[in-house]
Amino acid sequence: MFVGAQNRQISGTVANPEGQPIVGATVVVDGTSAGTTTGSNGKFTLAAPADATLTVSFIGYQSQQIPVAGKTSLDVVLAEDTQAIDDVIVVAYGTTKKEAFTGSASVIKTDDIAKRQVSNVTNALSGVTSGVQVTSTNGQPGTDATVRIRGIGSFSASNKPLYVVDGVPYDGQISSINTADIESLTVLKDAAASAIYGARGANGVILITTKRGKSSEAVITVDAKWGSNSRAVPQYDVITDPGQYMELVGQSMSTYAQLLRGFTPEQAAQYIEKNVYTNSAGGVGYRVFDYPEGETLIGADGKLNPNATLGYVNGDYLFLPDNWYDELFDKGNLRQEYNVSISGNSDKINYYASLGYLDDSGIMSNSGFTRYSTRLKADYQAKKWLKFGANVSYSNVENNNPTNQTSSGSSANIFYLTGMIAPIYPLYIRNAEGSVAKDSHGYTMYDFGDTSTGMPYKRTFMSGSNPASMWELDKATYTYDDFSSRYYATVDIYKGLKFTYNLGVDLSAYRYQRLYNPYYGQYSKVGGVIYVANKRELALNQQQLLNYSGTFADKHNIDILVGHETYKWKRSYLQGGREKIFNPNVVELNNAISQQSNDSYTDNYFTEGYFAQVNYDFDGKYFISGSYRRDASSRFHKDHRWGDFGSVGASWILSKENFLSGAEWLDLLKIKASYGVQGNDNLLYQTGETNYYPYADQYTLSQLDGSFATALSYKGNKDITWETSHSINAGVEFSFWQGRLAGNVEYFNRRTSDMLYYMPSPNSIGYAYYPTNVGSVRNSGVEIDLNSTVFRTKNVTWTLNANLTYLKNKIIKLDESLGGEWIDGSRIYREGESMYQLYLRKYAGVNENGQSTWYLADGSATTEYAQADRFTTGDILPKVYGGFGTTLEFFGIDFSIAFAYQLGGKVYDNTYASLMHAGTAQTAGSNWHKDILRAWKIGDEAGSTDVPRLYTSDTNTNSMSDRFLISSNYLDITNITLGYTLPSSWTRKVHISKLRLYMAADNVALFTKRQGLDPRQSYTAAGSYRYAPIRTISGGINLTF
Amino acid sequence: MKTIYKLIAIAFGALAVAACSDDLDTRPEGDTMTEDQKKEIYEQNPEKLEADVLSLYSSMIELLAIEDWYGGQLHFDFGYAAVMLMMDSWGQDMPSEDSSYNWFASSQDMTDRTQTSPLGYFIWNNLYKQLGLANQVIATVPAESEDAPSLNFRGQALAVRAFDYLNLVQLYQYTYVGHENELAVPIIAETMTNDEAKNNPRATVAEVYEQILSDLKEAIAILPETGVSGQVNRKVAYGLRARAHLLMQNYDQAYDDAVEAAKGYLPYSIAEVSKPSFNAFNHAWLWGNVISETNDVVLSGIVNFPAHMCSFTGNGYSPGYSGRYINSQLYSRIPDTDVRKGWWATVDEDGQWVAPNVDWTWAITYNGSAYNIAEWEDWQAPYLNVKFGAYNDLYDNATNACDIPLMRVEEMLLIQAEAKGLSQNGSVAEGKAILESFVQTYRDPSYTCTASSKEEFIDAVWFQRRIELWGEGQSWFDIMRLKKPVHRLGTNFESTVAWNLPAEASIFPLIIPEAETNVNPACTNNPIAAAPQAGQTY
Repeated sequence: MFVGAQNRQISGTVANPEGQPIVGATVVVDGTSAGTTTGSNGKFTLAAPADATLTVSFIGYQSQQIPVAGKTSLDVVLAEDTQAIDDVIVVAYGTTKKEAFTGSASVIKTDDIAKRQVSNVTNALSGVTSGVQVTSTNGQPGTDATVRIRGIGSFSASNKPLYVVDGVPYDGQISSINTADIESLTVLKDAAASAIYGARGANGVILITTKRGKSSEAVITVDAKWGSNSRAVPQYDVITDPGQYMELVGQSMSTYAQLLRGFTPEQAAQYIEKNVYTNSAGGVGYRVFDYPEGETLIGADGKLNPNATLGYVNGDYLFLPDNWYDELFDKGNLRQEYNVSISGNSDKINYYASLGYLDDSGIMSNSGFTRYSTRLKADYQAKKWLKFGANVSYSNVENNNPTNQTSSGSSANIFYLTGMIAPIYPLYIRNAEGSVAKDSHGYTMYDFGDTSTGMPYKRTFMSGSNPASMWELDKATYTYDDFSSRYYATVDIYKGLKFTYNLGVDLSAYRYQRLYNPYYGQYSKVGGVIYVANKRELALNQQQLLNYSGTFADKHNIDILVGHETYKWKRSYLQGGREKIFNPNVVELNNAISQQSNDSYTDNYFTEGYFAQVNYDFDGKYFISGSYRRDASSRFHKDHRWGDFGSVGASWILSKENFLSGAEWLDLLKIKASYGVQGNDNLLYQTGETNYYPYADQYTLSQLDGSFATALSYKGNKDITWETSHSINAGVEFSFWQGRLAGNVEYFNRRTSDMLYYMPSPNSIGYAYYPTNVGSVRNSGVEIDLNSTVFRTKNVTWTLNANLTYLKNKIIKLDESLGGEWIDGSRIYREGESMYQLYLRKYAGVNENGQSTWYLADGSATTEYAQADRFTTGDILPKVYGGFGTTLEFFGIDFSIAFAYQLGGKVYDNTYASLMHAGTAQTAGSNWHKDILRAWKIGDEAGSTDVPRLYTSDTNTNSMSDRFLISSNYLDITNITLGYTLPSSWTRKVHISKLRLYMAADNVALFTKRQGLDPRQSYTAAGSYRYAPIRTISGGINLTF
Repeated sequence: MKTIYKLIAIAFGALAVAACSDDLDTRPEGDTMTEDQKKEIYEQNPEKLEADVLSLYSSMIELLAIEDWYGGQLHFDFGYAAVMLMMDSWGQDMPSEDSSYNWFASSQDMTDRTQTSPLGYFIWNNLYKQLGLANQVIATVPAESEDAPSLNFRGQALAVRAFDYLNLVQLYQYTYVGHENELAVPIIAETMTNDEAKNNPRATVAEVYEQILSDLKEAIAILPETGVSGQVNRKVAYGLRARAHLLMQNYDQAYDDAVEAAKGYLPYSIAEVSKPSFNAFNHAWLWGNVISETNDVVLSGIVNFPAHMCSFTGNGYSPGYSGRYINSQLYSRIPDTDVRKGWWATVDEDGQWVAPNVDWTWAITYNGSAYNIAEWEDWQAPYLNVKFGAYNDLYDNATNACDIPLMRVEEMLLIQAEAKGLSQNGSVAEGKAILESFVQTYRDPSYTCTASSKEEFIDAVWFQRRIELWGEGQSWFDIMRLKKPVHRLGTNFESTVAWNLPAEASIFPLIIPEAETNVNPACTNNPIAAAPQAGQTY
């Protein structure tokens, strides 16, 4: 103890409202760092002046300030609080009191995560806090969403945040973490918060903290839910009537025949009849209507023959269209999840153990995600001066992951195919009398749209494929083993000086097995293909931390951290393939005999850093913090490997000042500001794969007629070094009227300079790009988070929350040699303008002949697509995004609803563009959007429509132009939960402390400018050729013993 | 006591701090190798240096060579043979389906002439990448070297560089004669830095030819007479120079070089081409891509030349999805006595296949049923090529490991005939004699050349070139060189891609990709022409 008032010994207990003791609660003498934690039975003793105030806090409970008022014994009951983790937040290399934190961090509470029925926690982040943007390009269960914190700061380097689990960077699959194990999730957004992570923190850091024991009596929770998945985003509004479709096909052929060949409408009808069942001239290849011989399918009036009936028998087969979508989707799709945990603590041990099982079958069979997860976390106070612990988790995931479900134009992509196929094609092969045929193996016979199955027709769209058959007979499975462990030991050396050693070992391995069946489809020609791959990733993270905290003269609180960290990562990959399968059910190489191929390789990565951090506060009112890190990465050449990063920050709690102390309405008013510098070494190849040796010229070895051949495959640059981001953050945190209105407003400005960038090279030199550090980009904006406890009584609580992020992206500088502008295909990068800007031809509408026209630079229009000029579209990034929601609890019933939104941006609608084709030979057989019904027709006035003519040789009608840019605004109901907790007076009789029944719906509805459009896919383009997002509606039961 | 424990803990921590700094020097193992790793091996095993030279040829059959640059996979990205397919698709001799399965559909409809076309990007990079590899070898081995193996390497690189320039100059500008002073493509000196390449204007057509002739002159002087199949030797260099001189209408030199090139090679005999062939390096080939079963292009399954060009493959786009056919009018001009009439299959009035070179008794078992070749899948359209045999002549072979011809002695004989017939020092009669001798001996015993003027003789040779070299990437160069129109109307081209274009139409030259002109603004571009319209004529 330092100089001060006379101390006396005070003892007491801390308990929860149910009377159970809270172990590990912090009891601090206000204004000092003197404090203790409660031991077993929730007891504590400490010395404090008689007039002191004690602050008692524990995660999950509201803190309380208790005046000692001369007493020597205090019994404290802490109320549970959903906001309680606001008090202590997990930050880099430790925890801090929220009020003492000078940086910017958002904490996402366990409730917000637990509500969401996601198989990957990244999918739960949409709309929950400001500054975090979530996009998802693949709805396959378990797939990571793309999380971006405060915008995109890099051109060619990764924009992915760093994930840290319980203090140590995490390298396993995010989907291997059971969301039920997560206590809180802290998003570190500014440099003051994350600069200490140096090399790896430039894109923000997401700290995941797993649960721990809270009460001395063991608590057992059981949670079970069952539900069903369905497709959350509908199909585009396409033509569904076969007759109407055939009329449009006829319209395209007829317009061409009349305008180009000078045919009369009658001749055109004959021309259609002659070509419509071929695969050229816009024909669809299939006949599915029966009509009297000698008549034509489409009349001279352009209408379907009134005598035509659906279904046509040709030889042994009946040709009848199927609704592929209805046949293939929304069947079964069970989702079930079970979690059991047991946790507790005593004065020496704190433990949490869990078991989880999740079975998410997605929305297409063969795409399921099954996870078994286990975790054991324990801390043990071995000696008075030694504490150690471990957190070990193992997950086994089996992910059936059909290939190509995100590739546009792939015949294996069920989403693409069902979204694009004309409503005239049969899915099944039908016998003449109408029954679906079976083959000699007993398999359902699907129509492949070619003659390989004995059919007389060839489909013009995606001939030779039928994903339903592939689905039934092909296999693609990832089996992951994710072992993730954290170990630590803390030694109290001397009066507030502590040494901690942290070790993290993450082993993530998968085995991928894929089989293309030998019976049908492309690979039947080679007797089927088997492919097996193994990957093993080992990450070893070590930290040595020396920590000192102390208080001087009662009011000077200081906390110092000095540390060293190394990170070693190794990935090994082995794969093999063979063709010609013996047994179609065994996905192993030895089951096939020809075209053997194999390859293997290993990559290595290493980083090392030294760092220090100082936090100082005066009297709990004025806070200053600083951090510094010197980091090295193996991705750079020896001479450019080390970088220096750091931050400074300050905050001032005005509400503790005397001049505001009388303001009853004011709970908290804090202003803060920070500045910091961070690094990024994660240069990616143009394909998005990580490049571990970007400084080096890289060669690949290949075989030429039995000899070695080495060719330059990657042009390196040994001068490249860290991409650096400089972040400014300034904000206000406030709480008024006992939390009726609380929140924060922050301004941020992140400038990335020396950007890791693939400098375009004149391709004539023999390579197209080389890496360099050049240019800078700024992301700036304002974030607002508001929370309100509108109403709180013993039995009724109503809260509202909303957040908003305004984001602006601007390229400050490009390389000198580019002259301020770089055009890369449909993107344009210009100094002073947003990185998110397209460079497109500009649609000028329909001319008097019904043709598409595009603008030239002089303002006139041309029908020649290739000659039309391109124009910048302006910034298409959404200006504002965020979320809002409300929760209501009354008499045991809880209800919540959460929304996410984005406003002010545009997106290129790829699928719509594809659905507005002209009926050419290359697009015939694919469907049309209903907007095509407004297409220009012969006889239409100029200017009567903005949809160009259907015309079998107008190949550029729907080519890329600003015609297909559309607002990316959306409103997304992300979750609705309704629960009922039975009165504990009833449940206690059967020794259940809590029983809650609930219903939850995830991904409930998405409102966008156009049906089918999902602007959550990316910032620039969207298309329905991706595994669609899943809506899940479940019922569940939650039991606590 | 406990102080000791604490000290042990701290010492352990300090040890961990000190132990790891060497680990920062990481290296790839297997996937790629760094320059340093490669150098270390060359120091230990100098004979492995040849691997750098062989990259000249491996780059011609590289799978997905531009994937990383382009930022995505393009399934025509399988090497120089894809450039050949693109070039043949522009003209009038090789119609194919106008469908989304045809990876060369935008070659066939000529919409690839834009600054952002992926096909245009591919062609530019395919040729300049190989040129860059050649420059590396040339820069490494000085002309003054006296080491014979090194000089051989230099010679190969010089000839390959000439091959690339000769392709480039014919693609990005009209032919030499009459366009000598127009802009062709940038010349990249072997010492050129990236910064210099950023300000590197297009050289004129004449300047590019000057470079080609100077490279080939040196290559011929230092290359050995023979070498390993698939690698460039002195004969290939002569053959390349014969092509260049023919283009420049230096007929005497073209004749002499073609004679030198042809020495020691024997054309395919009538018997040899009475069945699907041209799938393995043999006595007629001066140069070609030699493919092994384990090359990536083969393991890819269908991302390779035979998948498109060989109608007998067990795994490909042809037949059925985008077969490669001959122009029906061209076909009708082939005499029945010519063995090459059997290089394409037709159907008779009863719908039966007519293809004398195809063994119709071949049957295969597919999906449990026996199919005769004539009933096979989508062998629907007539004029389907049966010129290119399946790998190992095994019908329905799913392994697409056929070798790819780049220069055959037959072409050298045709150059001799044309050059002799047009030379001031020769005559049409002498040219006809060479032509008749070749065709009668090797293709059509009853052939006579009826040409009575230079113009008719040019067309007679051109006709022989069109059918002999069909599908081997030469037809477009001939259209450009001979200033011929492109006539597709009234043939078996699908109506959506049928048109007639005049000689030297504005759409003919390729557009340089903006990836080049953006960074190298000194490199101007060709004007973008309107894409041809269905039914268009002139």
